[in-house]
Amino acid sequence: MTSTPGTQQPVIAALQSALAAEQAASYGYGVVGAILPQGSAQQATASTDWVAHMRGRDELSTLITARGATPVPAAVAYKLPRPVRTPAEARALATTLEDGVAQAYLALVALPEKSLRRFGAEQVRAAALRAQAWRGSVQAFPGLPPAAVRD
Amino acid sequence: MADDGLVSGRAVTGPARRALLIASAAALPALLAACRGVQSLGTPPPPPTDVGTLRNAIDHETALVASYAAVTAASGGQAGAAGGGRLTAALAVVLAEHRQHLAQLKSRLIEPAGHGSATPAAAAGGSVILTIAQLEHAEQTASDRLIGQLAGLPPTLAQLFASIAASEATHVPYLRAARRGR
Repeated sequence: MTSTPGTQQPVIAALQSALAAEQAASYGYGVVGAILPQGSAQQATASTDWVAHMRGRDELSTLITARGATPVPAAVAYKLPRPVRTPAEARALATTLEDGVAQAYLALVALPEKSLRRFGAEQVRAAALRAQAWRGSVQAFPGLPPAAVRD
Repeated sequence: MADDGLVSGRAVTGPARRALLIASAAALPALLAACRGVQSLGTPPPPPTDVGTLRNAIDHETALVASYAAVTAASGGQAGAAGGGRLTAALAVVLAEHRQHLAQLKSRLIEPAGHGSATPAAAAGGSVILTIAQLEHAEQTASDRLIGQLAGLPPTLAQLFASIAASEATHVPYLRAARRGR
């Protein structure tokens, strides 16, 4: 690593943001899985997605540590964007979590480091695929805020 | 925060990037012409790599739009078949998204007169009607291609490429589900 601490600061910040999104998703999927019907295919999907986010969390922690920084620990609990009491609300939460993860990883794509760009893009794609499965529909610009693609 | 665009996850946006493209694609030949005289007009310098990459992406997206337009037109009469209505609707959704992708890509490129990119064969009309499975394959290929072209692109263009790559990857399971009537 030849970068100076000054040039690493935006890299670390983007990695920490992605880590925070993964930690929030890991917590949120615990709620999603608890609300979906026990033993259902959707609950199995939630479990698979939860594992994906735990892996993402671990990978980001490794990347942050490799750059001489300390991964910010997860919060004990997270405030959900809205109450989750029904399977439909659980699916909506999963979609929201994936959208947040996609947006956080897209920040890595703006960094100059080639490997981080690719990693970020592949994670945006993975999050978009999970979101599509929960949403049942597609989006033209996953991860991008509407203002970035306004006509 | 050193860079709100990075840490907030917001896309880096703005006219600065567009200005750069204008400078690189349009103003540079004019500047060189002014410096070297008329003879330099015959041999404009090659465009920067990212302009070439963007043109390439526009050509591929144009071809995808043409493919979907052809399939959508051809499938109109099959809407009554089992799952046909669902598939026709899904094709229309995906075609609309590709048109949005194409518009955004084109908005990032401002070319001087006479520098328009060549029309790809698939967009020239009379294109082969692809099967839905072939469209799914084309989507995955397009997604992989865009992710493979990120290195060296300006940040906002790289983010657009990555977002479009993600969108096009989601078209695969979306079309597959529609094809199976789910």
